[in-house]
Amino acid sequence: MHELLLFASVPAHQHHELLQQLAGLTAMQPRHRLERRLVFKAYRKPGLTNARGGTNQGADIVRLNKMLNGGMYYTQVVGPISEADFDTQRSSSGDPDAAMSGTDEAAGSSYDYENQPWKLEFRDIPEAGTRSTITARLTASATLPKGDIVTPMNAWGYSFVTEYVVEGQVFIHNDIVIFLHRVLQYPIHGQEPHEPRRQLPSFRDMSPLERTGSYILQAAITVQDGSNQELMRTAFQHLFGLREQLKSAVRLEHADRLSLDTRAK
Amino acid sequence: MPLTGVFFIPSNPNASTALATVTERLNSAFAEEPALLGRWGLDHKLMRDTPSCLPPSTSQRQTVPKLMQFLWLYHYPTHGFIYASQPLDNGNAPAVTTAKATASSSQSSQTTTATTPMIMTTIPHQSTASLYQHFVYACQPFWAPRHTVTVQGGMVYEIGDFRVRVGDVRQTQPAARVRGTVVEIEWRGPSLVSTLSRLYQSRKLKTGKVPGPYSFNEEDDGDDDSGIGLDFPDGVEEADIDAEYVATATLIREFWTKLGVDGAREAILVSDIGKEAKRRLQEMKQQDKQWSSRTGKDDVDQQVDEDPDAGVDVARQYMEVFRFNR
Amino acid sequence: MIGSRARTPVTWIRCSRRSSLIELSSRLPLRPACSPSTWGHSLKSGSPSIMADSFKLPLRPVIEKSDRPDSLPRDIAQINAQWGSFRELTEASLREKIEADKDKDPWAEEDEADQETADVDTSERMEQLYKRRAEIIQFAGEAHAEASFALDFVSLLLSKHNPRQAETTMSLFLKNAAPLGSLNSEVIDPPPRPDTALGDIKSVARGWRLQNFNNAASKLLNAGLRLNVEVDAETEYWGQVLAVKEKGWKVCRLPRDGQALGVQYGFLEATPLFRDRGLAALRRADDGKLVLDKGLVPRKTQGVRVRIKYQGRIIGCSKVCRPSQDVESTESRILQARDTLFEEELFYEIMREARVLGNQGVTTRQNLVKVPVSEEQEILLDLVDWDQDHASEEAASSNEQNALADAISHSIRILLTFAHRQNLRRRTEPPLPLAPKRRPVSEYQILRPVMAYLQHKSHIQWLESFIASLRRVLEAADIKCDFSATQFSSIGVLQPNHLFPKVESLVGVFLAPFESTFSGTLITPRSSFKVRIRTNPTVPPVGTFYDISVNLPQFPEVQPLNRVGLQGEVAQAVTHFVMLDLAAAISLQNPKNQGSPGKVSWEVAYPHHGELLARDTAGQSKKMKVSLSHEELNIQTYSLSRGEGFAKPVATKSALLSQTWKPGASGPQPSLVEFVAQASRP
Repeated sequence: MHELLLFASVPAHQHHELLQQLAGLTAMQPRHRLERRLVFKAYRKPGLTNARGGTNQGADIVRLNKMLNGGMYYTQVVGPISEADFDTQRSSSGDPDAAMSGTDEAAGSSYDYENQPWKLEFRDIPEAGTRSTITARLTASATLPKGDIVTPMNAWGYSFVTEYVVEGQVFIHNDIVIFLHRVLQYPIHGQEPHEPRRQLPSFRDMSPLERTGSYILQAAITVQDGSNQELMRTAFQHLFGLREQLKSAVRLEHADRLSLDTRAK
Repeated sequence: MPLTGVFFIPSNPNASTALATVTERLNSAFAEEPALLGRWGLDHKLMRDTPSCLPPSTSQRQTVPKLMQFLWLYHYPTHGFIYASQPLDNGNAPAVTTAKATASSSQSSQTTTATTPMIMTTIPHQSTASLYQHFVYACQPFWAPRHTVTVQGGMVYEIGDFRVRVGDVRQTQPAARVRGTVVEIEWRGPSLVSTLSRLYQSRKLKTGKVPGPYSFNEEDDGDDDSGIGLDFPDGVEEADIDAEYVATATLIREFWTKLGVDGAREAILVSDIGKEAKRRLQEMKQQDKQWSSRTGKDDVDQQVDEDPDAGVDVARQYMEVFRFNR
Repeated sequence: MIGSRARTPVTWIRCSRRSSLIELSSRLPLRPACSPSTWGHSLKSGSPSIMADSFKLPLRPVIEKSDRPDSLPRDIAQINAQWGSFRELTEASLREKIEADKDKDPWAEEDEADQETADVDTSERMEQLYKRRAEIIQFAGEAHAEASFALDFVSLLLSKHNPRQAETTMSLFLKNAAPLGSLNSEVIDPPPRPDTALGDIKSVARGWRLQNFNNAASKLLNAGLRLNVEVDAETEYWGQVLAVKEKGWKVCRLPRDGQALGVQYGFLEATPLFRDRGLAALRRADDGKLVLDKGLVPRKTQGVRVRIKYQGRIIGCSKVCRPSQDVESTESRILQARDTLFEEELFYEIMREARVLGNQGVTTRQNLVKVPVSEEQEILLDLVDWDQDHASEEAASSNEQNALADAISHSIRILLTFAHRQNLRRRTEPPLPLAPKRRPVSEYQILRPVMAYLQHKSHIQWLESFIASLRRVLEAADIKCDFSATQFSSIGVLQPNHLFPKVESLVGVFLAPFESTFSGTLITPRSSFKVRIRTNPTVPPVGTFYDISVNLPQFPEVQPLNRVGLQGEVAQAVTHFVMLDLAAAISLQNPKNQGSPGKVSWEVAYPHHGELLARDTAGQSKKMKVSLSHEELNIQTYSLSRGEGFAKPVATKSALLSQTWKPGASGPQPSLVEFVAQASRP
């Protein structure tokens, strides 16, 4: 799958107005979206990274050696959550029922990590080249098992790096998904944990990454087959059409390619 | 989760397979006429960590290769199975292997023992292909596709309490060739594990029902699953489950012996078999904690897999026999 | 000399509600010949408080009475010159002349001729058009030639002093014809004109000027008036637009015509064809009235009509919504437009759905959809004008099913609205990736749920009446059996579901398969039967099917019947099961248990034929045959001779005993128990 994108930065004071405008444009009420995003990094076994040079290499060996030096990527595992999942009732920690459960879960929190659905969302580095007016990149997404995701991800060659939360409103405009969002960071107490949090802090304690409180407007359209030129053109036209329609409100632009680099060094 | 055993009869690339023999024996060896129930198929992909694919060099110590297997079975159409070697070099090995059936796995002496502990995961069927594609594309330095085998148009027979699936295994990647014949023997008689599994499912449905778009209180009369209404068997322990796997393995081997086909590789009591069954038993024992349902998600687009653990045992057995020529 | 008092009025022309004022200052010269008049106007934004309610504007030059009247001889001379003689000059003719001059533009005399030709026909007009065009071209050519001459002349004149520059503007012909600088000019003093001539010129100039000022003034005043009218019209228009907006309608700019306003009354989730029609321009008539401009759409009010046809007669007709009485109000016109649009869409969707339902017997005509419900009943749907509905009301031979027709007409509208909601839901879901193949929009479910419901209902009614008649037969034989029915058991209690609003869940019920169950206990203990009726509106297999399950402990081999489609088979099966049970009950009524040794006991021999056998102590065999239908129960006993085996047909034997039970038969009848007891006697 391919994804075509345009971005705009929306200052905090414009946020409300833009919501209204988007609601009018798309003729729908915004959908609230709150996601946990876990960042995983592909790892390589230590000591095996250096390609072995040698004589009499078969084609297969050449191919394998080439593979060994192929790119490795960061990938995200995304899980939908709701605001109710955040631990809003710390005061009820003395709840006897919760204590009976005898687990490491925070008392009073309704969040159930064991049932958290996950989705793998891989994004390649945006394509370089002529289509500089729009960000285009290869994507892949797959539904993953619920609950503990680190164990299978480790087995598949990925290690957990960090996590954050994305909060925003989604609009659908024909084929385009408009996502007006911001990134929230977990409060840091001491050291950052080495695995996904099993309980969530209070939502109030989440702090926006962008201190000014500004939002990102992302307009995305996905194309099943990126090699289908006609489809890609249609998608382009749709996005440009949206850019024109929103011209008086925001300026949608492509993003800097290297700022969306997902390659793991 | 019924109890199963998988047998694989390898054949030479250009020779005819044992399928005809097996089919013929099925018809002749039993008093009861086998009833043809339908068709089945499977799709299996094997990946191996790229460094280990290179020829061993003197300078480096050859480690045990890591594997990842993708399997899709026609009789469990909702999800695909992914079985991957557990990382050894990544400090955080969870304590799941403690539940490993040590007693039973030692009995599967004929089978090639698993090299490293492996982790079974099931994901929705649609996602299997995209995940495999992802590994092929984005994980080249550590995952190299080795081969793909499929069974197409296999036969399902029923003989008494057994259900038998037979089919020819064809390799499609990297080169098309015949690999052999696979036979799955499923014991459908009364079993503790399947009863537990039904009980688990029915409880899950009762307490944590994910409401469909238009759900109503249907007074379902008479058609109740037999699991409902059963009381939880307090006396059941993990050892009972192990014992049943062993006992059923004997039954299946007996059945196989009757067929009298030689040269087969057997996968019945593979490692970690019954792990999910035992976990469910544990969960049902801690009743106060379980059955918390999670209905708050509004991700309607995500298809709900009613029983993601279904078929993991048979998947392990298939993967065991398909780990050839890795 | 004619004099006039000079004034420099600075006037504000009111231009209300446009919040702009035209400042107009006119300075009239004291002596028209000497000082030029200056006109200046500018647009200023002024406050509305300046809006003067008066419109006193002395734009016209005030002509003051001349100080000294013209001398009479002079007037006489003028009259003679102007009118010929005094006899021509009457007050009436003068007034006429004044009237005629009043509106006339003094320079527009030439135009008058044109106006008369307004009513010539097209071909002449074309001809005229060409002629005029030629004239215009000719005039333009002449003007061009004269201008060229003038240019040549001036150029030649200037070439004396500034040959280089003048040469550039000279025509080639002139250059060849005359050398540069060959023309010179000198200033000469004109001969002094006589005072009288100068006075005349002044008077004429003054007269012309006055007339022109007058003209300008009337033009301004007219413009002011027109502006006033326009402003009033605009005010009214905007007032009405605001009224529409305040009623809650969505008022927006037209997408194609940015200057015009439109009102959105259609349904956003309708098919694009109808969605785009749901926008009408709000245009302004000349008098400021709001005109709803729907383009080429007919203005008739139409509606979908539902009629019930039973055995060829129309016995029910739904009401088509009427336009409201207040036809003139904009609100009601918008409402009418919306309703008509909805009805048209409804019929369009019904047609679309009907076409895929051909395999279920739904037929379509140009403007009619026929939906069969049962063998005798049919539903007709058509799109009619509301007044046509009036006219054809007598066609309905009775009105007994009007309620049903109305119910159906409400249902289909609810179902269309439900489909709209589903569309909204789909539209606001994250879209699938762009792929070459687009999934076509499937037909809405409008007819199918209605059909399924009616079908199901008719099947229930049939089964109910069948079982009731069977029960009456059994009751006539004094057999107790218990029947119960759960109609539409699939429609249970609505569960709250946070994902879907209640109304949607409610309608959703009617899109799911319908199910009803009939169950009954039979005569022998622990035996029962159950009939389950399922009607599936959408997912194949479409239609109504019966599942009959029985629990007969005496006949464990009896299998339930599944997916029976025909009523006849169902009736047969149920009767058969009851008959089996009857036979079992007779055999269970064993006299041995009662301790009466003289009686024979009946054994079920051929249960599926309803035959029982009994052998008494003497070896004499008797046979009993039970036959049951929903009309009667008949039991006969025959005697079999000793030599004959069980299998021998016994039809030729004469009946020993025979009893027929019919519901409502007069006279006392023995109960089944009594009859069997009688038959059991040796």
